[in-house]
Amino acid sequence: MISIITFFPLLAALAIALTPGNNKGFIKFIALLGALASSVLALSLAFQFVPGDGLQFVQKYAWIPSIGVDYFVGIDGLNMLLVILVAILSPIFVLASWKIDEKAKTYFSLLSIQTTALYGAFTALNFFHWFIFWEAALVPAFFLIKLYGGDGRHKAAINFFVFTVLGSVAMLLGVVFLYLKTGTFDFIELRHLASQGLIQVKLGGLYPAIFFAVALGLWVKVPLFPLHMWQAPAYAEAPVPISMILTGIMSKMGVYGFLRLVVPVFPEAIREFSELLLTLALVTIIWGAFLALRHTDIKRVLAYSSLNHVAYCMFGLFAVGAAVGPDKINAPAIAMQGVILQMFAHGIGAAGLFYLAGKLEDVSGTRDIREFGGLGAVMPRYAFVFCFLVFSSLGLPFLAGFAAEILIFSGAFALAPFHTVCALLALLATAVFLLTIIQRIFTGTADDAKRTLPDISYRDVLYISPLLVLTVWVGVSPSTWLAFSDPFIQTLSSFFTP
Amino acid sequence: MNLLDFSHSVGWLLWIPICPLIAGVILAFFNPTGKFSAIVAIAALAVSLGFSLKAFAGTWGYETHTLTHNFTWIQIAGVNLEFGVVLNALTGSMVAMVCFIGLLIFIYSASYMSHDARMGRFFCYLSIFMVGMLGLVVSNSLLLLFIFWEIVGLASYLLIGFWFHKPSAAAAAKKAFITTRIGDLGFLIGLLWAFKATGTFLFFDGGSGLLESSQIVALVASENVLWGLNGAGAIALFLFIGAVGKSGQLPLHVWLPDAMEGPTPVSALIHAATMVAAGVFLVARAFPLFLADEAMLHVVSWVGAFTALFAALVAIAQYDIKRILAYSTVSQLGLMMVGLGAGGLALGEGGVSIGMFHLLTHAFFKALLFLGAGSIIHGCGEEQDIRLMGGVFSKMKVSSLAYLAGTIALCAFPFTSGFFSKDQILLSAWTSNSVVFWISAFASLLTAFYMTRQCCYVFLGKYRGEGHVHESPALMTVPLVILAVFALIMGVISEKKYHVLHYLSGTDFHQHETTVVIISVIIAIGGIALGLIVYAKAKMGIDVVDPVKRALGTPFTLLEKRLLADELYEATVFKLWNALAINLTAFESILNTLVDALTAVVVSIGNFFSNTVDRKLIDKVTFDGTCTRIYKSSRINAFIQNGFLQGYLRILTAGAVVIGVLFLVFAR
Repeated sequence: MISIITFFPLLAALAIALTPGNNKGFIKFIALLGALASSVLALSLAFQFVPGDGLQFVQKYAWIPSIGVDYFVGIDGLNMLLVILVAILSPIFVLASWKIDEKAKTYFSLLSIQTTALYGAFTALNFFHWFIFWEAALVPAFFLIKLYGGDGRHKAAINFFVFTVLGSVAMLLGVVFLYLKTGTFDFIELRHLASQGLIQVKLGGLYPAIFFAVALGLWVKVPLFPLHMWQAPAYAEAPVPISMILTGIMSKMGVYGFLRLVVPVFPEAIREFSELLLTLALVTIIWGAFLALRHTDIKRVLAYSSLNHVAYCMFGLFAVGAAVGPDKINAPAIAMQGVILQMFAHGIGAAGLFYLAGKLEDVSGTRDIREFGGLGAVMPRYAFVFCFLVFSSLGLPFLAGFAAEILIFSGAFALAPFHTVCALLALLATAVFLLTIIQRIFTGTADDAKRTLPDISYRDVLYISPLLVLTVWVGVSPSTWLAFSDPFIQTLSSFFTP
Repeated sequence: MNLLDFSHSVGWLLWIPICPLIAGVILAFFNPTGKFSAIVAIAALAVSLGFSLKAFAGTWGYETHTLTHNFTWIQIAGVNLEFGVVLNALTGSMVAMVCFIGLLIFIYSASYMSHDARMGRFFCYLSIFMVGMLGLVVSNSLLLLFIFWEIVGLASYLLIGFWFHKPSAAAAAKKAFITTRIGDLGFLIGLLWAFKATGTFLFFDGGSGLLESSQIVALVASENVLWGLNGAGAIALFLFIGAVGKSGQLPLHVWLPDAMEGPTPVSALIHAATMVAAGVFLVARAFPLFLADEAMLHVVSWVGAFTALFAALVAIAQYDIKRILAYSTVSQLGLMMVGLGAGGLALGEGGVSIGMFHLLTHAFFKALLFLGAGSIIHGCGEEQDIRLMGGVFSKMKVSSLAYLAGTIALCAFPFTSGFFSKDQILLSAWTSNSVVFWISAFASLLTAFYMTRQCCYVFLGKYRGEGHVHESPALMTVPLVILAVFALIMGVISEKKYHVLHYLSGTDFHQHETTVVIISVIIAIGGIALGLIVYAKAKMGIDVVDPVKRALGTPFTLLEKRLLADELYEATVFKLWNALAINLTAFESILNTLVDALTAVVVSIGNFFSNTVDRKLIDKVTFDGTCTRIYKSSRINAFIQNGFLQGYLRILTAGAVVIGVLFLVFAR
C-alpha cells in the first residue's frame, strides 16, 4: 500500500512526460490526479492506523542482500503525521501551480517526481533506501528553482545544491561507517542496538565523530545555524509552490531524520552535547527572528520566519538530551510530542503563508513590503486569511502554533530552564516581526496604484481552506493528532528518563 | 433548578464565554452590517449575563465554597494538561461585573459606532474580547487562563487598531500587543515553572491543585530557588510580571495611554473596566502563591504604590481627556495592587478582597467616566483636547451630571463607592507599611486634584471649540445614568447590608480606623478644593499656559512629556534591539560572501571533474553522491544552455519510473 502511494505520482509524471503535444489542461489534470490519488490512499491509512509503538503497513523485501539493503517501508507513530502532512499538502502544491503554463510538461512532471520522493523519504526504513529518496527529493527541487525561479535563481539553486550535497556526503560516509561496524542499514535494528548501548561500544572513540557526520546532513536540511545560508535565497527565489514544498515538507525531512536516525541511534551523543546543540538551536531561533525583522522581501521574511519556527522543533528535540532523570511531568515525552506537532503545525501554516505571499506578488508585481500599506481596506478577505495564519505562527491560543509551542516549552523548561527562558525571549522578537509585516502591508492608507488591487478570489481561498481548517483543528484539539505518536514517543522518551 | 445547590457540576459556567463566542463566529462569517450585528452581540451577552447572575447568586452567602469542573485537554505519556472551570466568590463577582458593564457598553456602542461602516467587525471583535475576558475569569486552570489571557490581548490589539487607516492607531495597537507580550512571557515562565514543580495546571483539584495547601506547602519547602524567593514566591513573581504587563504597572505602563487610539467604548470596556484589571485579577486568583512568600506581597505593594504615584503625577499635565483618564486608570490599578499586597500583609487570606473591592467599584466609575468622555467628545465634534472644550455642562446636562458622579467616586468623595474601597486600601497600607501608605495617600490627593482640573476645563467657562455642542442620544445616556447610580450607591449598600468584603473574603473582618477615615476625607475634599482654587477662575485655552505650569515650570513640562518614559525606552531597549538586528544582518552578509566563495570553489571542482576526468569512470562510481551530483549539476547547465533539457528530463523521468518498477519487481 505504501509503495502504491509512493509511486503513484511517479506514474503520473511518466504519463505527463509521455503525453504527446502540449495539452496543458490535461497535464495539470494528470498531475492533480496523481497527487490526489496518493493523498486519498495515504489518508485512508491514517484511519486504519492503530496507535502503538510498533510498525504498521510494513513491506520488507530483500533488495541487495549482500550489503544488507532491503526495500523496507512502514509507518509508525513517528512518520504517520508527516505522511498525512504530505498527503494534505501535495494536491495543494499542484493547485498552487495552476497558473504555470510555460514549459508546463517539465514543471508538472518534476513536481510529481518530487511528491514521490517526499512520500518515499518519510516511509523508508532502511538507510540505503531512504537515502535514495532523500537525494531524489533534492533533484526536482533544484531544477524547479533553477528553471522557474525569480531573478536570483541560478545562484540560489547552486547554493542550495552544494550545501545539501555536502551535508549528504557527510551523512552518507557516517552511515556507511556505521554499517561497517554494525552490519545493518536498518533503522529499526539500529535503534535496538542503541537501546542496548551497543552502538557506542562498536564505534568506540569515533562515536562523536560519526554522530556529527550523520547530524551534519540533517543539520543542513533543517537548517540550523550556521548551515542555514542556502535557505533564504532558495525560499525567496523558488517559484511559490516550490517554496511551499521547501518550507512545508523538506525542512521537516531534516527534523524527521533527527528523530528517526539520530535520537534513537545516538541518544548518548544527544545527551553529551546537549548544551552545544541547545545553544545552536537557540542561536538559530534568535537569528531567524531578527533577520526577519530586517528584511523587506516578503518571501525572505517568511524564509527567516521558517528558520525561526523550525528551530523551535530542534530546540525541543535537543532539550530532551538535558534530561537527568524522571520528573513529575515526563518532560522528554512532552517536548518530543511538541516537536512532532510543531512539524505538522508549521508545515500547514508556513505553506499557507508562502501561498499568500505568492498571491500578493501576482497581483502587485512586487515582494517588497515597503511598497504596500493600507491593503487591509483594499483586500479585506486577503488580510483576514493572512492575519489568521500569522496569528497561528505567532502562537495565539486555539490555533495550531500555540498547541505545539506550549508543549515544546512545557517539556523544555523542565529540562533546560535557562535556555528555554532565552528561547521565550526570542518569542518576543517573533511577535515583533510578524506584527511589523501586518502593520506594513495592511495598515495605513493605500497609494493610488495599490488602491485598485483585486482581493483574493474565493477559489484561491478554497485551495488553502484545508490548511485554515487544520490550523483551528490542531489548535483546539491537538489530541486528535498527538494520538498517532503518543505510544511511540513514550517508548522513545524512556531512553532519556532512566 | 436550585441556584444554591452546590452539589451539581459547574460545567455550565462554560456557557458564559461560549455565548459571545457563538456571536463572534456568526459575525465573523456573515459579517452583517449595522444594527443586526449589534443585536446579535447584545443578545449573546445578555444570555451570558443570565448565567453570570446565576453564578453570582450561587456564591452569595456561600463565600467559602469552591466548586470545580475539570477536564483533560491533552494527554501525553500519561501526563494530563488539564482545563477546568471554577465557581467561587471571586468568579461570581467578576463575571457579574464584566457581563453587566459589558452589556451597558455594548448598548452604548450600538449608538456610538452607528456611523461606522465596519460595525459588524467591531461587534465581532468586542464579542471575541468578551470570550477571552469571561473565559479568563471562570478558568480553573493556569493554562486555560493563559489561553484566554492571550485571546484578550488579541482582541485588544484588533480594537485599538480598529481604525487601522490611521498610522497612529496601527502603531498603538502593535505597541500594546508587544508591551503586554513582554509581561505575557513572564506569565508563561511562571506557568511553565508551576507545571514543572507541581505537575498540574489546575488551581483547585480536590486537594492536589496548585493553590491548595498540600502543593503550597511543598512549594514553600523548596527555599531560596530564585533571588531568595521560595518555590511559590518564584512562580508568583513571574505571574506578577504578566500582571504588570496587562495592568499597565511600571515599567510596562507605556502602552495603555496610547491604547486610547481605539474607539472610546473600547477604552471604557477594555482599557478601563475589565481587561486591564485582569492583571489584578490574576494576582487575586493566584493569591495563595503570593501569600506563601511575604517578599512577593511587598513587591506587589511597592510596585503598585510607585505606579499609582507616577501615573497620578503625569495625569496632572495632560490635555487629552482620554489620556488623563488612561493615566488615572494606571494609577488606580496601582492602588488595587497596593490593596492586594498590603491587604495580604495585613490580613492574610482575606487581603484578596481589598484589591478586588476596589477593582469592582473602579470598573463602574471608570467605565462611566470613559463613556461620559465619549459622549462629550461626540458632542464636541470628536474633539479630545480639554483646552478646546469648556462650558459643556449647560449644553449636555445628563452626560455632564453622570460624568461628575464618576468624578467624585474616583476622587473618593465620602459615601461614594470609591470612598469605601479606597479607604480599605489605605487602611491595610496603614497597618502594614507606612511609606506605602503615604505614597498611596498622596497619589489619591493628586487624583482628586487632576480630576477637578479636568472638570474645570471641560465644564466651566465658555465653549472654546468650533463645533456645535449637543447632547447624545438616549441609547448612550441611559447606560451613563445606570452606571452613575452604581458608582454613587454601591459602597453605601455594601456597607449597610452585606459587605462586599465579607462576600469576597469569607471572613467578617472589615473595619474602619478613625485616623485613616479622617485622612481619606481630607485627601478627597482637599484635592477637590485645591483643584477648584487653582482652576475654577483661571483663564483656560489652547494658547493659555496652564496655571500649574506657570507656577512649576520645567517639572510640569517633564510631566507633560510623561516623565520621558517613552523616550527612555527609545534610547535604551529599542536601540539595543535595533543594534542586535543590524549586527546580525551584517554578520549574515559576511557569511553569505563566504558561502558564495565556497560554492564557486565546489562548482569549479565539479567542472574540472566533468571536463577532464573520464565521465565513464565517474559513472561507475555512482555510489559516491557528491561526484554524481556535482557532475550532474554542471552537465545540466550545459543542457539548459543547449536546449536539450526537455529531452533530458524525459529520460530522467522515464529512468526514475523504471527504477521504481524495478524496486517493486525485485522486492517480490
